[in-house]
Amino acid sequence: MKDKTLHAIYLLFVIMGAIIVGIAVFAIRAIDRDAESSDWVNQTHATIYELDGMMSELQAGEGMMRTFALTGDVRDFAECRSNYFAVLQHHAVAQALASDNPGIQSSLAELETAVKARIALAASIKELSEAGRGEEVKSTLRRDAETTTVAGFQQTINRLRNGQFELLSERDRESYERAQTTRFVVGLGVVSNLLLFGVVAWLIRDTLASRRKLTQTLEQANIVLEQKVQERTGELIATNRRLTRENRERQWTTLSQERQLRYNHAIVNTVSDLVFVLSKALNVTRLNPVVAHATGLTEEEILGRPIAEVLRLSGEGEGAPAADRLRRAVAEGRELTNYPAELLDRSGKSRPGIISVVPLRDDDMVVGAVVVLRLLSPL
Amino acid sequence: MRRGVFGRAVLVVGLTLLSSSSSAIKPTEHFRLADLEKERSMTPEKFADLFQRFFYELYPKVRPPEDFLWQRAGDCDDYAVLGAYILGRNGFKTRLMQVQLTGSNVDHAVVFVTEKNVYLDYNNRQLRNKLVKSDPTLRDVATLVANSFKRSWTTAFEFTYSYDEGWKKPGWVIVKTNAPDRDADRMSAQQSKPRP
Repeated sequence: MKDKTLHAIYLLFVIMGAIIVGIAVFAIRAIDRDAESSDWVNQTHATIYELDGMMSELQAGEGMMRTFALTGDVRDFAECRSNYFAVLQHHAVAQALASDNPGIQSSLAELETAVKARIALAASIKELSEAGRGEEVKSTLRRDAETTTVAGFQQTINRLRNGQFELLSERDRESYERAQTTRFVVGLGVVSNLLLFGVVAWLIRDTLASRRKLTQTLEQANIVLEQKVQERTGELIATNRRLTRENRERQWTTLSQERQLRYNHAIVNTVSDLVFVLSKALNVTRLNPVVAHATGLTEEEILGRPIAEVLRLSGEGEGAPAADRLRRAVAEGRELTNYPAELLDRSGKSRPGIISVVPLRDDDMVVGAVVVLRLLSPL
Repeated sequence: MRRGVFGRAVLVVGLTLLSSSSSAIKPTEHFRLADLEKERSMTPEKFADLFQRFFYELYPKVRPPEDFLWQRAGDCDDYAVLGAYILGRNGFKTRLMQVQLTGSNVDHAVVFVTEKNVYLDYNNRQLRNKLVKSDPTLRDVATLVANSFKRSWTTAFEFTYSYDEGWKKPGWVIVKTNAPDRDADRMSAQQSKPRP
């Protein structure tokens, strides 16, 4: 869940970044387009300026031509000529500006022809004036006034100017539409980014809230766990103390039992009669040192062996075997007292004695027996 | 006898040096067209240095050089045309260029010196670096000129001017909105066409 939210936030940031980059690229392109458009508008204005320049210089030239006709002053003619050449200069620039427009080019070509004709007219007037043919100058100018050359020039210029103004209007409309598009795109981008930003903020807030809640839950769980650990620790400490005490008591008991056992062994070992401790199967499990002394066998040779190998009850062969009587007495938990028996030594030699058999009980269950043999003859 | 000849030679050399140094035009002095024409070692740098104390005064036509020099005031085309004339006399290949800037019908003329790939601009006459390094195309010069005005440009043209004829005869004309490879001067340079 956490990873998913994090991935969603990353994705939203990537989208926001992409939108910002997109808007930036779009804005830069729009700026470039505006600069380009501005250049085109400037070019249109420049064309209008050149057309106006042609017209104003032509009119100035016309005026100076008539002034020269009146005054005959060569400076006026030079000024007239200069004005006409200025028309050609504007014309050359206008021609370059409108190089992509064949319609304007043809109109400009007509205008150029007209200007050259005016230059030729001015030259002829100069010649007539210098020749002193004033009447011919007047008649030439009169004839020229009847033509529509200058008016036609003016009309062509006006037509071209109007065309340029229409172009300006068109470019202005395009520029406005582009600006509107740019506003819309930038606005859309900003709004989208703000919305995405809101979503990211909401996601972060939600994640933080859930994390806070999780932290609180963890803290509470931790407190409960802490309490349980403390309780359990207390229990363990108490148990440990108890076990330690019990262990110590057990150790004491064991020590006491061991001591008691040693003491019992010492007592048994000090008995002058022969003592055999038997298992329920009548095997010798313990004996005192007198047995080894009396039989000539070592303790290891006797332990674990059947009692019948060293002790034979008297009367065997007269009815039930004596060993059976001993087994039965042990099995039934009966005592035998002062029962005649013989001890067999290593060499197989027997010595008479009297035995007493006492069953060994553990919780009322016979687990073995203690046989005490008193020899009738001294060792 | 030998000492006398040597002494006379030293005197002649000294007088020659003195006369040559005294004939060098100084920016602080009034000088005339004839002084400029007489100067045989005129370079673009020297020419530009001479006008550092001139004033700016707009005039619709190109002023006659004597008027320009006498009044010590003029505008860009007075300076550019005179520069082209004087430097041309000193063996430099020059090109007069006029740049049409946007707004208020402003245009600006400069003279380009081909050997040094620099142009002389009247507006730079009081600067330390009076010559502006540029590529030899109209477009590059127009761009630099427009930048110096912090404005844009629309057209630029090369022109010739003769004080006798008294009018600017346009040659190559370029338009900013056209692709640079359509510029007349660049196309002509590629095709080795003569100047109009």
